[in-house]
Amino acid sequence: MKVIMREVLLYYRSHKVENIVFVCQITVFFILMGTFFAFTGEAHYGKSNIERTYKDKAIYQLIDGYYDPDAFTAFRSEPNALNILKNYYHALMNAESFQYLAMFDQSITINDVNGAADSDGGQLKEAEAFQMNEQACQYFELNVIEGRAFQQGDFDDNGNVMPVLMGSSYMNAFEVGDRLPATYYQREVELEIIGFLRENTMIYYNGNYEFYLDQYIILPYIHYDAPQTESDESFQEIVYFAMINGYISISSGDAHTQDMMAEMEAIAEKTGFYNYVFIGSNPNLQQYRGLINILNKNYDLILSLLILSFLVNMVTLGVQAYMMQQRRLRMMAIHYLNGATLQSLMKQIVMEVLLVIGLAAFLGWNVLVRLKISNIVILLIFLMIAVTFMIGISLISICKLKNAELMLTLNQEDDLQ
Amino acid sequence: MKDIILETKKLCKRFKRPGGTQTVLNKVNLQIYRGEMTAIRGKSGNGKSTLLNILAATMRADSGKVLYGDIDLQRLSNAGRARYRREKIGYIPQNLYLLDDRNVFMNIALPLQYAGEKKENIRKKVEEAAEWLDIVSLLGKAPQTLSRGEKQRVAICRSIVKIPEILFADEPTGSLDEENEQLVLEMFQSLKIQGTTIVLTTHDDSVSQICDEVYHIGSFGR
Repeated sequence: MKVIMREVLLYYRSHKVENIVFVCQITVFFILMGTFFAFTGEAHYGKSNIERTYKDKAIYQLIDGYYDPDAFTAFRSEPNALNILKNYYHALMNAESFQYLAMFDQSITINDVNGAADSDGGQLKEAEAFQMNEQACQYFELNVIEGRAFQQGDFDDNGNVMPVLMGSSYMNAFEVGDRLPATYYQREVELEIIGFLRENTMIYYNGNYEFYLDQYIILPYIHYDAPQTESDESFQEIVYFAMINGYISISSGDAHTQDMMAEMEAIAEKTGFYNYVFIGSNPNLQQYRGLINILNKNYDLILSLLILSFLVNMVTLGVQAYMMQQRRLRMMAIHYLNGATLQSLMKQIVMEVLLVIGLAAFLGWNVLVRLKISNIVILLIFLMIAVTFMIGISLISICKLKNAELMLTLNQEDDLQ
Repeated sequence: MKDIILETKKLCKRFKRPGGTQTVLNKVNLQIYRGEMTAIRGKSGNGKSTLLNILAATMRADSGKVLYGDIDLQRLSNAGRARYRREKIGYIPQNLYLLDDRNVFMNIALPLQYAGEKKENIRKKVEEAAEWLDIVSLLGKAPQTLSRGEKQRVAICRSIVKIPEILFADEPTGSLDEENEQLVLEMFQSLKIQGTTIVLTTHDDSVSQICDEVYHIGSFGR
């Protein structure tokens, strides 16, 4: 083993340039593979997510009709305004013919986003926030890459602590469990980070099928208990007014639309909230097909490039390894006639290949980690490719050595001496 | 009574070539005697180097026996044959082939390293051998910087550094000028005097003349 290790070191020392080029080539290949796999993974995820979410669905936007500030103030001054809003919202949530998705993007003021005290004594900063009710979170199947997603209890009133999910862009700034003091509709709350969303998480919002949440703090729409004070009541009214503005999702088709309309009327009758409007109705959601087509084309293109690149690189590296081995056969023969066994020469080759590809894999993986496109699936694929390379190139080299009448190579005239 | 150190019996070797197989050695019988210098003569392509390689256990014959004492080298495992190469023989290949990735010292030390010798022993033995061949001044040099004659002496030095029982040399004077050829033959004779058995291939009459036995290999190695 000592002799083999010494020979491996000598080999690297005497073939520096060759090996550096080899390592660089494989490293670049690994990075390309990792990037490609990350992209195809994301494209596949995005495509299947969109298909699952929108196929045969229709979405209507539902808003309240209080455009006029006087009418709004008049409604809020009614003694049972909050109850009406709460009943209306809960009825929407419990509807049988549709799913109600309450969503709203509104910035939130956070005292120091970076977690350190401000030098000027607590200057407040604005952060993009996106509020969602439980059904909206389930509907879009928000996945986390760290921590956990929202659970039922997160939508209950837990005092001043509000669990939040962070968009993936916050990954390096905060950790799960961090608490951020914030002002939410003029109320002081503490946002507790429970998880980080998967990169490129997108939902349908404001007519956009690709509304990305990477930059957002996701807040749950809380079901508040009865208010204790006037300020509580005022706060809850504002929140519930926001909560009754959202989207209604139904299965596409006239019959389903009629059922939804009928149930909306029944809810209005039952709760006393009549002032609602549907806008931007999108009964067929056909546009998502266009998006899927684009993703499909991208996906196929990238996959073809990936396979082609993999094959070309495998062949290139295989040929390189073969030729390198061809050139070294006579050197191997010298070792052989001076006492080396075929097995020890094979071990030496495997060791050389192992170190070169291992180093390339290490460098490539580090670059992917720095580029933030690493995950466990990519790591597994990465290891699989690295092992395939190691086995492939070792086998090519070993077969070359094994099949050669080693000593005959010494009788061939050449320019080595 | 001469002592046989190596003997072949009905040795056959064929090579696959495009368009069929080529018989290189066909039922070759020969005896190599201990302490003697034996030449194997023949035209190019008649199987001299192949026979040398089979005797040196760096190649296997297709059939027949190669007896070292009562051990048939043909039947030895790869490890056993490697041990035979490490412990019993020295080999000077036709084209010398010094390793370019190390200096002359390390080239000469190679068989000792495979034999598992300790570092201090390696140094001592390499220096002794180099002194005997008058190449001490070359030890630190890179093989690429040497002349053909110097390379030949380094190759000989590498093959004798572990003091082998049998020294195989494939066309040792093939590409040397007269002066270097003479020098090499003198070295071989000195080695013979010290008890080393020498087996070499040649088509040079002046080399055959100093040998104790000369085998002629014709077409098909007969």
